[in-house]
Amino acid sequence: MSGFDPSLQRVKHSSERLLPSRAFVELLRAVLNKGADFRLRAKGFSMYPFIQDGDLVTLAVCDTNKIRVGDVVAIPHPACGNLIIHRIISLKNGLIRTKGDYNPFSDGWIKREDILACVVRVQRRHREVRHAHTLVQKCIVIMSRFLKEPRLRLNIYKTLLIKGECY
Amino acid sequence: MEQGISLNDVLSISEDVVAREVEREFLIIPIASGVGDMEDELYSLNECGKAIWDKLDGVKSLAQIKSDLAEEYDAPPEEIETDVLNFTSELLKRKILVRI
Repeated sequence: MSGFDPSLQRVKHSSERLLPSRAFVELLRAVLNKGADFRLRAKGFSMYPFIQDGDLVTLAVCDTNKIRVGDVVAIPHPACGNLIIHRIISLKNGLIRTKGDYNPFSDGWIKREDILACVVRVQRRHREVRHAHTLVQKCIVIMSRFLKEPRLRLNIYKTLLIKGECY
Repeated sequence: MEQGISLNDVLSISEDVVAREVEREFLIIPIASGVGDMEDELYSLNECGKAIWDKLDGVKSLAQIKSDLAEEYDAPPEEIETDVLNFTSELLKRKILVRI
C-alpha cells in the first residue's frame, strides 16, 4: 500500500444517505444496547404533519409489553428491513401493525419484540413538540386507518394540531 | 495535539462509543450524556484512520502501532509517526479513545 493520510471527519446531513440503509438499523441497535438514547433528524413526509421532515427525533428503548396503539415507534420495515418511524395502528397476539400517518397503506405486521425503540422527544426548529394526549393519538389512528381521502384526512389532522404541535 | 501524548502511550477505544460500517463508511458515534447523537456527533474514518483504529487494542503502544503501519504503508516512518500522534490525539480529545 502507498501513502498514509488518516482522517476523522464529522459527518453532516447524514439522514438522507444513511437512514435508508439496513446496516443503519444495526448502528441504532448497538447504541440502544448500551442503554443510550439515539437522536436523529427525521427524513421524509410519511408522518406529516405530526413528525416533519427535518425534525430532531429522540429514540429510547421501551418496554414492548407496555406499548399501545397510537405510540410512535422505530422498527425495521417488515419488507425491506430499513429503519422506519411510524405509528402503531393495531396490536394483536404479540404482533403490531404500523403506518405512517400520511401514508396511504400500512407497513404490515411485525412481532412486538422487533420494536427497536419508541419516540420520546421531537424538536422542531428549536421548539419542543409535545407528546400527544392518548385521545388525540386514538383519533389519529382512526383517521389514518379508515379515512382514505388524503386531503380530508390531512385537514382533520391539522384540526388536531390547533391547540399546539404534538406527535 | 493532546497534551503529553507520546509514542509510549497505550490507548483503547472508549466503552462509550459505537462504531459500525454503514454504506461503505466506517462510522463512530460517541455516547455523551446518555445519548448517541447522529445529528451533532457522528464521525467517519477513512481507510488509513480505520487501519489505526483496528490496531488500538489497549495493549499495543503507539510506537508498536507506528511500526506495524510502517510495514504496511509505503510512507516515511516520521510521517506515519506524526499522523498517528495527530490522529489519536484528535480521538482522545473527543473522548473516543481513552488512555490505558
